Amino acid sequence: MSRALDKCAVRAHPLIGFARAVGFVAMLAAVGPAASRAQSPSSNLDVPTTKLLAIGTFTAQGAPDKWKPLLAAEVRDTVRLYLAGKIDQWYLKQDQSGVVFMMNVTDPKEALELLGRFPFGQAGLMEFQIIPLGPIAPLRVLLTEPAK
Amino acid sequence: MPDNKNPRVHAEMLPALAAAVGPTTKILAIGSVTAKGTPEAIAPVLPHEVRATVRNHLAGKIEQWFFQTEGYGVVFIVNAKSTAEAHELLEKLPLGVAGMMEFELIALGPLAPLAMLIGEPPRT
Repeated sequence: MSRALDKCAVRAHPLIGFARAVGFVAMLAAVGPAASRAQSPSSNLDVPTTKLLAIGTFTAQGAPDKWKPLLAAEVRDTVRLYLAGKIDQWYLKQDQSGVVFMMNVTDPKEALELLGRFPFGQAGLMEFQIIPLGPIAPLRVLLTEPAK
Repeated sequence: MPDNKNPRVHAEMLPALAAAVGPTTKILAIGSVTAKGTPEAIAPVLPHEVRATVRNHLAGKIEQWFFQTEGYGVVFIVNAKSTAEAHELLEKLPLGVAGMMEFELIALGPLAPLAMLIGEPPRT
């Protein structure tokens, strides 16, 4: 598991995320009415993480002669994780580099642990990039009402 | 087979996987703000961006939309048959027109290896 975690990366860099978050708050403050500025600044941006996007990509070791013998077991583990309610949507990347899952998991570590147990992960043939997702926060702009 | 511009794809596995690839049914669009997209530059455009995005949703083009909660950006799942079709749609969004947001586009299709469960393993 630790190997899987080492190899996998969460996409966002915290510092960049913070800087961008500050910028976004400034942005909303610029477009929002006085009422929204009266709230805590971060409340304009805050949306909970509700899903994780998991982008699985074959590693340099992931050659066909390595993954083919494991594919049937990989598929079954994927279906099991779906049936457990953890994988919400599954896709194959058409550039044939791997898979994309939308997961009903909010903790990237949990997702990496679950996916790292798959045969491809155990064999170091596939690694996952995790992007935490939430409701589309800018939609809040539509809620700003003109001052009464 | 789509053009392979992804350096992480290893040429030797492509023929083996080709047989397992079905039709492109969705495009994953990961949107990030460019260097031009400063808060001051984005602020006046944002209300237009949101409205254009909602219109695309109502038109059935942007099927799912998410905000990246650990970073600034969006993720869309677009109903398009090719990355070119999705690109044309997304570059018309106001932030795209202004060069303040760009999208990484990943073509998606059904999880073809599921065929193994119905007794039809991918041909090699």
